[in-house]
Amino acid sequence: MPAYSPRIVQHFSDPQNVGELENPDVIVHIGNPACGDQIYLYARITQNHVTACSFLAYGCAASLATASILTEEIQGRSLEEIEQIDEAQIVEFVGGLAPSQRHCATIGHHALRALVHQARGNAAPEPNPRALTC
Amino acid sequence: MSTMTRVESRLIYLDHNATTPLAPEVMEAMTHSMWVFGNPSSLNLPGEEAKALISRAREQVAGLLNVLPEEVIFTGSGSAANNLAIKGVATRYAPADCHIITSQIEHSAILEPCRFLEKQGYRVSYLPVDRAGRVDPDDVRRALHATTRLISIMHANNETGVIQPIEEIAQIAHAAGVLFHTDAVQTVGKLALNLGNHPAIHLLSLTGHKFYGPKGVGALIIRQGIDLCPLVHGGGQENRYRAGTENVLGIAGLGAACQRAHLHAATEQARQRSLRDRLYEGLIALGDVELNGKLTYLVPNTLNASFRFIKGDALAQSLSLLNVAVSTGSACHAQEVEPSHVLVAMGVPEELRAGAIRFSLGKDTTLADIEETLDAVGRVVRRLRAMSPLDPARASKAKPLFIGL
Repeated sequence: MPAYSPRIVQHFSDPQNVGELENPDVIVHIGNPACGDQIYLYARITQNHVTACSFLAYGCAASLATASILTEEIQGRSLEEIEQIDEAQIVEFVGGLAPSQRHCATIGHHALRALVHQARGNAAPEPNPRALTC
Repeated sequence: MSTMTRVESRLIYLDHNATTPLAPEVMEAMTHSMWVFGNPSSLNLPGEEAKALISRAREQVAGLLNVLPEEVIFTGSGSAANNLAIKGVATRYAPADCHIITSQIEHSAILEPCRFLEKQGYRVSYLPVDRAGRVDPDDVRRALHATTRLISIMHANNETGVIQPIEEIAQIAHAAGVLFHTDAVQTVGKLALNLGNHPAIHLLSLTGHKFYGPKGVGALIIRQGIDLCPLVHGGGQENRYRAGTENVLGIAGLGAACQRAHLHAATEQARQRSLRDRLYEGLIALGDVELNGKLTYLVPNTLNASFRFIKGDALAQSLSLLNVAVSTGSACHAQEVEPSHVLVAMGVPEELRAGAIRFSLGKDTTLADIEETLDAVGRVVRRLRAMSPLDPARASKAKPLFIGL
């Protein structure tokens, strides 16, 4: 088993903000067809800021913990701030990822970009499950 | 659990098909052997002492399987024994004159040598298995060819524990005048195997660390009258099949493990079967759990089950955090899941393959361990399913608005 940062262990053992959010403004669904991992992010947006966020996820330990950590990290942030979050910063948020786990940061990054894109009122593109190959 | 496997962490170790801890009597035999430094080929006192240890171990292995001591060839591992069997038979023939029959669910230590031989021009047939994970002997009959020289079918599968009908297949080989080999790495020391009653099993591989012996030592049983090409040429040790100064310490440990198994395997088998059945009952009661394989065909210590809506990696990793050590059938690497070739061959659907876990019990597993494991698995599965968008009880009623980028 790969080694995990204390924050990943903490969130994997006791995930935060699990489940569907009531009355979300945005629902994002990102899937990685290569490894099968999936993340749903639910968010309420008030005055350009994420005021509530939750998730559902299917994946390995690092993937599930990353989703949980992201829901904590983006609450209270503006869409502009979330837009600036890149993969390296997600790796920092979770306390480090082994090279074999980096795909968790990639899928998380895609989820955040999708969230911002949609929160700004852009129409969701046609479903394309093959679009993400992280 | 024994002090060896529990230590301070109170680990519940259910990964005995991967490896086992040394049994105390094995450790004692090895500790004694550490003082014996002679080269078994030397004609002096230290050499004689080392040679005596090897002879004793050879008798212990032979005693467990009811073969002649000279039919036991010590190797560096189970993989080395499998390589010697496959390549040792094949290289006696020209590629065009040698066809091998094996199955799709063999260990990589069989599949890889076969693929290597295919690149040299040899022909190999990889037989399928049914949904229960068993090779159909009729498929073996149908695959026979005028140039078939070897049939190699494992005794029990390492991932699922499914026992193959090797007696029947050995008879088919015998009737066709073809050599029969079985990779018995997962059954020697667990199931009673009397090769004296099965002369049609010509070659058999085993390794010590699957039944409380040391790692780095195995053996190939080569029945009398069978001739193979050696893989390692040199000083002629091990009846010229495996050149190199013998691993006296490891061989002594393997011998002690065989002696131990001879005395205890039957009672351990019955005890582990009842614990495994309790585990099965408890897992099935969780709901949306499916057994991979059929209970009646399994070695007594093994259970491979798929948990719907969650990934096996996440379950195994969660259990590890709770000090329960199990194994997954597939590994999620950087970008993709490497599916278990065994579950693929059995026709297990992808969503079930991803949620597969192997539990393999051992001599120190107790009923309390099984109950604790069931409790831990139940808690973790509920937690993971609560997060899973695939669980119909939990799945988003809202249609995803955004998929991919």
